Order: sequence, then C-alpha cells, then structure tokens
Amino acid sequence: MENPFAEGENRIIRPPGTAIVIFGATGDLTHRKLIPALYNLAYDDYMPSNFVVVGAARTPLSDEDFRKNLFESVKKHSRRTINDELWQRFSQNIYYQQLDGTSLESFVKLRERLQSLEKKRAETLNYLYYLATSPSFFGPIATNLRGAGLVEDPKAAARSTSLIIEKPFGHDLASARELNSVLRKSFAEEQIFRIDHYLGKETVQNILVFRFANGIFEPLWNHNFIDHIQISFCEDIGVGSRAGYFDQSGILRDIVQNHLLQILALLCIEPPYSLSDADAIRDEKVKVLRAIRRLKPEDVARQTVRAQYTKGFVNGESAIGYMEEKGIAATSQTETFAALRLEVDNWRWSGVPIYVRAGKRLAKRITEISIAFKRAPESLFRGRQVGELDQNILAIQVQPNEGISLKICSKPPGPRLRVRPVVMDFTYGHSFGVPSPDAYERLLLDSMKGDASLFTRDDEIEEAWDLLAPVLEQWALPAGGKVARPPLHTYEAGTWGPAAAATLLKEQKHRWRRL
Amino acid sequence: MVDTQYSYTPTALGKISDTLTSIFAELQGEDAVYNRSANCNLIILVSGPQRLPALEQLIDALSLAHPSRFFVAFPDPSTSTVQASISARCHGLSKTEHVCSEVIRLSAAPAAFAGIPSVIRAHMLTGMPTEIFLYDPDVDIALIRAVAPLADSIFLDSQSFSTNFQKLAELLPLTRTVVDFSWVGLGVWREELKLGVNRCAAGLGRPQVRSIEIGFEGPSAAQPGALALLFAGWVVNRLGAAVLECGIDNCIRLCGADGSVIELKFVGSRSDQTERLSRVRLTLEAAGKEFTVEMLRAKLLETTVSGKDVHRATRPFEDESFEGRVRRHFFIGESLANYSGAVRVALKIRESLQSH
Repeated sequence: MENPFAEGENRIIRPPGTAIVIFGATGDLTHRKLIPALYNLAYDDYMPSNFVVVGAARTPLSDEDFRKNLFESVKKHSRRTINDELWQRFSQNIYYQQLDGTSLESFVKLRERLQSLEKKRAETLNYLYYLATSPSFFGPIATNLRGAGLVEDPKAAARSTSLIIEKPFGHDLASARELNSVLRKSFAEEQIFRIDHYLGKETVQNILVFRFANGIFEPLWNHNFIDHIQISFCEDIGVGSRAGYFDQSGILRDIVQNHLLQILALLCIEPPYSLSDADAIRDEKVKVLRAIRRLKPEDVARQTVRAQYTKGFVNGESAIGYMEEKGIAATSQTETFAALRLEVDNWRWSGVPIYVRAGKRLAKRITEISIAFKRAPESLFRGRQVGELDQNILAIQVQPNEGISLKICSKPPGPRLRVRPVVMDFTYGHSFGVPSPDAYERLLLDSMKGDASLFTRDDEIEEAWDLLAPVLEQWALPAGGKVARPPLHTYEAGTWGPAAAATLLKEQKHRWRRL
Repeated sequence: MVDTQYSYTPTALGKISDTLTSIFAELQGEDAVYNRSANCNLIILVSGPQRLPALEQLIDALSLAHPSRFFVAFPDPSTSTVQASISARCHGLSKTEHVCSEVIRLSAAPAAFAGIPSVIRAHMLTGMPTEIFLYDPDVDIALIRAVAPLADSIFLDSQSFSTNFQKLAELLPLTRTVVDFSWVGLGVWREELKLGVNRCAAGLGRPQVRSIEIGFEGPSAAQPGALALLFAGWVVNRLGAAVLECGIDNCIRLCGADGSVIELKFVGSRSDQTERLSRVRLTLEAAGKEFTVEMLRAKLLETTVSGKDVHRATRPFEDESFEGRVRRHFFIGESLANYSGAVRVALKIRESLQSH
C-alpha cells in the first residue's frame, strides 16, 4: 500500500476544500438541482469547511445578483426549509464569473478568479468542474480548461481537478466514443465523473446492500428462482419545454440507455470484490452489459416496442398528443414509449427475461423494479378454490416513494383455506424517520470526495450504446424500404402504453405489473 | 362495525394523495393508531348520485370485510369536469389500533366521463389486486369497458340484472373472474343438491336426470329471474346437456349428454319480496331405479331424497341479505369454478324462453 495511513480510514464524510465551478450557471439544472443540493449538504454539515462555488455563464451578472436569483430557487426547490443564517454563510461562498465556453481567454480569467479566491482562503482547493451545459459545449470547455492550465495530472498534482458531465453521453455508439475521446484529451478517465442521477437515489444504492447484506435473497438471485424481472420508468408528464431536445433523442436514448440499463446492471452484477473500490463495481457492471444478448436485426421487431402518445386524459385532465406538442416535427417518428425484452446471457441469468419499459404521458409517475419469483407448485391447492397462485414479487420503488415491498401469499382469516396476496412494505420515511436526500446531494458529495463508484465509466456508456445500436438502426430505417421498419404504435395519454407492449410479454405468459 | 367515518373532503385531482395523507394525519389520536390498510383496489361503478346514500352502507360492510382503496365512480350532470372527494372508514382491531379503508369518490358529467379511468389509474395501489364492483346494472357499459382492463375480477349481483340479464353476457369476456353475489347466495342450494344426488346414486353409478323443476317466488311469476336462471344454468351445465326447444309454460326440453331428453320446468309464484328459490326437484334414474331429490324452502332448507328409501335432511339458510352474501364471500369464500358455464347456459335458457 502506498499510503500506510489509508487502511481502515474510510469514515470521511466531509470532503476536502473544493472550488466547484458550474458551467451553465444560469440554467435550469443549476437552479433546480445543483444549488439546492449544495445548500442541503451545507444544512446537514457535509460541505467542506472551505469551499467556493463559482457560477459561470455568458450572461453578465454580479455576484450579488447571482446569489439573489439562487436564493429564490433554493426557496422553491430545496427539500429543507431555508435557514436565513445558514443561507447567509453558505451564499457568501458563491461567486459569478461571466464566461464564453468557446473562448480560451475567458478560461484564463476564470483561472485568475479561482486563484484569487483560493488565496483569500489560504488553502489549496480541489477544482471540480460541473458542466451543466448543452453537450455541444463539453468538448470546447474541457479543451479550454486544459488550455488555461486548470487541469492537473491526477497522479502528480497537489490538488485534484475533476470534470462532471450530465447526459446525454453521445446519441449513439460512434458519438459516445467520439465524446470520450475528446474528453480524454484533456482529462484522464479517473477525473471524469459522468453523472446518472438515478445512481444517486437511495433505493438504487440499496440494491447492492439489499442483495449482498441479506443472507436470504442472494441465494435466490438467479435463474433457478427468478422467473422474470421488470424495470419500469413511467412519467405522467409530456415533453413540455424539452420538446426540441426530446424529439431528436426519444425515450430509448433519454432514459433506457442510461438510467434503466444502469439499474439493470446493478440488479444483475456478481458480487464485486470490494465496495470501496469504484472500479470493482463498475467492472462488474460492464460484464453484465456485455453479457446482455445483442439483438439481431430480425429480433428487433419481436423484442422491442416503440410508440407515441396520442391525446387522452392524465389524472382526469385532458392531454394533447405528442404530435400536437409545440416544437415537434410534423413527420416525427420519435418514440415516447419504449419496451424491450432483454436477456443477460450468463450462467446466473440464463433464460430469465428482463423487461424494460419507459414512457411519457403514462398513467402516473413511478419508477419501479420488480423481481418476479417462480411460482410455487399449485398441486396442494388444486380444487381448493384458490385459483392461480400469485407470484412472489419483490418490488423496489425508485420514485416517487422510495422503498421495497415483498408480495407474499397468505391465508385470510376464516374457516376455509383460501389464498390472498399481501404485501410487506419498507419505506425510507417510515423506517428511518427521515426522507431520502436528493440524488444530486449524494452525487455532489461523492464527487467532492473523489469517489466515482456511483458514476458511469466510459466503457459502461459504450457497452450500453452497443447494446442498443441494432434497435436504433432498425427504428431509423426509412419507411417503405426493402427491410420493414418496426411499427411506431400509438397509445392514449394516461394509459399504460400501447397494446403491443403487453404482447411483448404474452409469449412467455407474463404480464406487466400493474403500477 | 365501522367506528370512524371521515366526512367527504373535496380535493383537486392533483392533490388526492396529499389529501389522503392529511386525513390520516388528522385521524391519529393520542390513544390510538389509525392504519391505512388496503389489500386491494376496489372500483365501485354507480349509475348516478341518487344511489350514493345506499352505497354508503355497502362501503361500510366492505371495509370491514375487505379493507380496500375504494374508488366510487358515477356520472353527475351537475359538474362539467372530473371532481374528487375523499373519505376514510375505520374500525377498531383493538382499543388502540384501527384499520382504515380509503374512499375516493369521482364524478363527472357524462361528457367528461372519459377522464375518470385516468384518475383511477393514477391512484391505484401498486401491485395489488384490483376489483370492480358493479353496484347497479344501469352503469354505462362504456365505462365498464374502460375500467375493466384494470381489474382482475368484477363483483356484481346478477339478481339486480333481472331486467337486463343479457348484460351479463357482455361482462363475462371483460374479465377473468366474475364474483356474483347471487351465485354466492345459491351456494347452500348447490351444496344440498350435491349431497342429495350423492345419497341416491351411492353405489349405483352415474344417474341420469330425467326432469328438473325449479320453483321461484318474486315480483314476477311469469318468467324466471336471474336466480332461477342461474341455478338452472348450473344444473344443466353440470349435466352437459344442451337446450333443445322451448315448450309452453316455462318448460324447456334439453338434450342430455347421453342423448336422452330432459325436461326443465320453471314454476313461479308471486310475492312482494325479491326473487328467491322456493323449490328444486330433480327426477333421476340410476341402475334402472327412479329417484327424486326435492329441496324445499321452509324455515330451513329441507331436502328429501326418495327412492327405495326416503332420506330427509335440513340445513339452515345463511344470511341471504346482500350485505350477508358480501360478508360470506369475503370472510368464508365461495367456489366460482362453474360460474361462467352456468351463466352461459342461463343466457341460452332465457333466450329460449323469450323466443317462445
């Protein structure tokens, strides 16, 4: 071991002194998520004792005006109520720097500003760059940071310099590789934190604890006992103000490629050799993504469903169809719903279908993982007015109410032998007495500490794109071409998606879980 | 007994979950815990607001037997958009612990009715069984069709469908399971017939039924209602017989599984009460000997099996009120195994009777 004092010292919660530079500081993400998350970290006393937050964007703003704007956002979006004294202390560490992401000169000024702030604090701060910008700026910003001397060698420097980027990480395999290649010209892979906020959710982190800290589940976690798995991401909202972006990407790229495949990977990984080494978990996730059987072009129509919502009702309110949304191309073939049947082709998971679905304008907002166990033999209950025994379902709800439930069969009280499903529930609020922190809080804290366990590595991104490549190719086939393009189905807004999604499961006598 | 009934609180559609939470926060007392306890989603479809007062009794009875998240949906011409109001029903498990069902009332003018299924979908308890309760037979079939895909089973009382029995035929394909409280109420008659036939056929092989007579009493003596039809449907279906032709006086000729002719006759008598069976008589033949199994409604259900010997048996009727049958289904359960077949044949019998 290089550092003889490191062993056993893994209790550090408060990160070292850090300067966080947020590019795209006037944007929605900064106001709704990043600053409220940092404020909540300060509230819980997790922020470094010495930190600065520098907001950088094109708009000219004074430090004071920037703070005022942020105060309004934090009031609106923080999960904690505003404590005036804390806000005063917290906000005194926030600064604003006007910056053009494509101009090296701007970055030189940024360096001078950081150096001056650091000097005032008389402490060497780590530099953490958060790119809350359009992906088109990722390359130029990374290059200019390097050009301005704001990136240091991770092995040799006294301070760490890291880059956080938000999805999308490319729009297909080639562009993801290109992006990775551009970023690595300026930063080493270990300095790049690709954020997938789903990995910051408590229930998603709990997947590993649940699997590996409970003696009763891991022995069942394989094809001998698990019948199938469903991962559902359902939103009741439409595309809203993201129409322009969404119509270019679709839900497969926007949600499945990142959030849902990450969840799938965590569900299916082999035990990593350590939970302290970020790469130990990420290596295992890559193995899972690599083991998912690639679809042949002819499988795509059979194993995937895509659809667009039409007008309908969502929670009693009328909702317009996708094609009527502002900013959607009249000829749009973009899917707002995607469902896939996948299979992890390895020893543990052979023959277990994994159904993944994601959609907008569905009946309600819910993200859930459900693990359906194989049915018990029914012979004992035949002729006893029991009907078909329900499957035991282990459901992990990721949002809105993070928690875990287990559906079991039970005999209702009374003189007859009958069977009814009942649910054992665990919710974070009820069990731990506190609501779960926002995912960004955990991810920002980890990134300040330099822990990349909950961030996505370049090879994970590339494997995920590689997996979806045949689907994207088939879905993008021209209409009326030699090879038939899989149909774009429709579904009424406020329902659970197109009928074809149910058909996807029928072949194996499965049904989507009613959410 | 339901001991706490929280009055209906109007709420915006987007606030249904929050309002439920706040109701339960208000209910909590220093000395008692009120648990939200629902083991299913129960969607009650009602034909109009005029039925709501009577429905409250049913909700009380159901919440005792079957704690649920209730959705009560009905058309209300006085409102143009979907309206929601929320209530809770609790009963004590002990002095300190109460179990509560949640009630979400949803109403809309018929023109806005299409929005109601979406509210139900948005608030269903995840992964729990979902059931539809057809409170009255006049519920718009379009609404039933819109909601049916959400449910595993439909509860109804075919007795209330006596004037619209054909509607049952439309409902059957919509769901995997129909729980008919008339069927539940007939359980004691089916059980006694089974035991009676056991007695006369003991050691003689499968008996051949020669005639079936079903007596009923109710507001109309002219034609059998749902109960008599359902029972006849069950008997004929179990015999594997087919309806041949209708004769006069509610008499039907059946073709038995062995090709023999079986006579089915309904005998009605008028009474002011709701329809009920008064008598069932089967004539059978086994090993060349003739038997009769006769069941009569008296204070008790009296069964006489006559052949070489005469056997008599009595059995008390169970609570035949609607609430009683509901309780019986949820507390004790009832076989639903042959229900669909019975309804299909009952519909054929009715068609045959009407065509005459």
